[in-house]
Amino acid sequence: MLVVEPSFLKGKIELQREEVVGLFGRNGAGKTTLMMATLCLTDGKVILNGKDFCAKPDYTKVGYVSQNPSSQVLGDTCEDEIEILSGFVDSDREIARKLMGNYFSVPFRKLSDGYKKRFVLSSALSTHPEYLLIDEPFANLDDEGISTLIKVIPKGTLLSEHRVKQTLPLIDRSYLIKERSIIEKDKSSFLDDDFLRKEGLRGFRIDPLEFKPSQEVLTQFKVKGANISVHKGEAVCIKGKNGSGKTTTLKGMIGKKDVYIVFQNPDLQFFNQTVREEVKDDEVMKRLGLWKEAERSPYSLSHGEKMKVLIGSAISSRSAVIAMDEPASGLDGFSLLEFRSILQDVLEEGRGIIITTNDDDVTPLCNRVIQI
Amino acid sequence: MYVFSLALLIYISSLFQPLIAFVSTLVWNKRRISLIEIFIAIISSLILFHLGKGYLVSFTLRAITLVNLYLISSQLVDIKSLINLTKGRAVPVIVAMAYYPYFYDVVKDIANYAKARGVKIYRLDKILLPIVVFIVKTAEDLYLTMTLKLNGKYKGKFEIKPRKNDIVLLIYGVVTICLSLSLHF
Repeated sequence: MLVVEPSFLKGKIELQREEVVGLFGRNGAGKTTLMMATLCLTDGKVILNGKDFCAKPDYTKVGYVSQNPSSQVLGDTCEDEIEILSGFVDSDREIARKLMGNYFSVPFRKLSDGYKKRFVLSSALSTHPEYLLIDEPFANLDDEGISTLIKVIPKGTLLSEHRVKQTLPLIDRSYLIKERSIIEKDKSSFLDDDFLRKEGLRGFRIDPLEFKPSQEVLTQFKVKGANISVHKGEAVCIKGKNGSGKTTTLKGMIGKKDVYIVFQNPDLQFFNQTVREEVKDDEVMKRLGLWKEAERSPYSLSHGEKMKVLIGSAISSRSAVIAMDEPASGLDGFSLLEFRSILQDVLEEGRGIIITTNDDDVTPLCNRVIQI
Repeated sequence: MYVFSLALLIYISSLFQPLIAFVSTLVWNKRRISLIEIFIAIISSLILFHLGKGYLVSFTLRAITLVNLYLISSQLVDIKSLINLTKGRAVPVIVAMAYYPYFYDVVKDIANYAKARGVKIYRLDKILLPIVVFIVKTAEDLYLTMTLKLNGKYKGKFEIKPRKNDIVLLIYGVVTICLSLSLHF
């Protein structure tokens, strides 16, 4: 059994070899830090099979897969990765080959998002760890990507995730991190919409935006050859699988003066030293609750706040339409509700919204959903 | 090691019969590249003969052969041998190589986002900000990845025993040099 008692939280997590355990909590609750504590990289007590794991950590026994697969690969292909690993630890080429199937020798950058996550999982599993920690495996994945991944998540896994609905069928038990405490919660609690809303978790049914669009066309753009118009006060969702061309559709709008585009990774879109320089409008900063952070670097903010800064820049740009690529990815329940209220304000100002997503929590916000 | 032996044998044969060496390297190329190289060789030979400097043709062929040998080596050398040959010291270089396409894509994305924000590409003070942050974050993540994944001392051994493919390479090199020498003398 693996027992983790992180020093920054009250309580402990217990993980048996024959179970998958879910770990839930708001943004910033400490889910990733708890995983770091399990790896002895922050303070805490970790007992593996009755012995102090941190006395001499052996990462072939406790493996880790982080959120972003792109920065945790060592080889160009999974085959190369296993070759590299085999020089240092006992790694099982066959298990990786079986999990990756025909994609074993395909370069990482050419894989779908689901297979990219499978790549890092295969690499972690190739050393036959007794326990595995996986941080937000389903972030940004469509249903197909999730089912690709679910099939290979082994027993003995501690899984931290925002997407409660997708995680529940996979787990045997669950913990919630709340007010600096670890609380074991019955799985059925996470099926209750009120509970999810109260705890700031995702998966509850979000209310649609209350605004009726007018007939005035603000902009037009093409999706797979079809002309789409966005009307004043209208939110249009473009839904499609990973790789279906959603981001490409938005990239095609770069240069359009009436559309301001917010892409997925906030860190690649800040070109200024402070939040004030980025948003450029004090009123907008106050409205979005960013006033206190005005002199801070946008890079130092939480993911939810970074998204707010980007949306703030979009609002202050006075563009007629704001387009957003997977804006709810990485947001917890509270941030999602806040995001909804910001969108409501944007529509009431008479602007239009375009959202590309594969997230079922977001599509109810739109007046119109275009499926790619 | 066997790939480098093949390259050495073909290079030596190019000193005696540049044409044979050049032709022998074409087998490993993609057809389109081979056709381009043949075209370059023919055109440059015609120009050199026309200028009365036909003796330089062999140098042209040797130069193209050397380029091909580099391509063949990078194509055929396997990571395991390279790591074993350097006793694990080449790992950071191999990892860095795996990240070049990723960095390229990210920088391309940043350039696009800058364009979308109306940030001019020559404003290096602005453009470099996300690039530097990205590099630092990736380096941090990679440090963690390497700490967790390469946990332990290097234990690989250099395998001297040739595999079937290595023997094919050696035979190919020996046949090429024999052919060059027999035509030369």
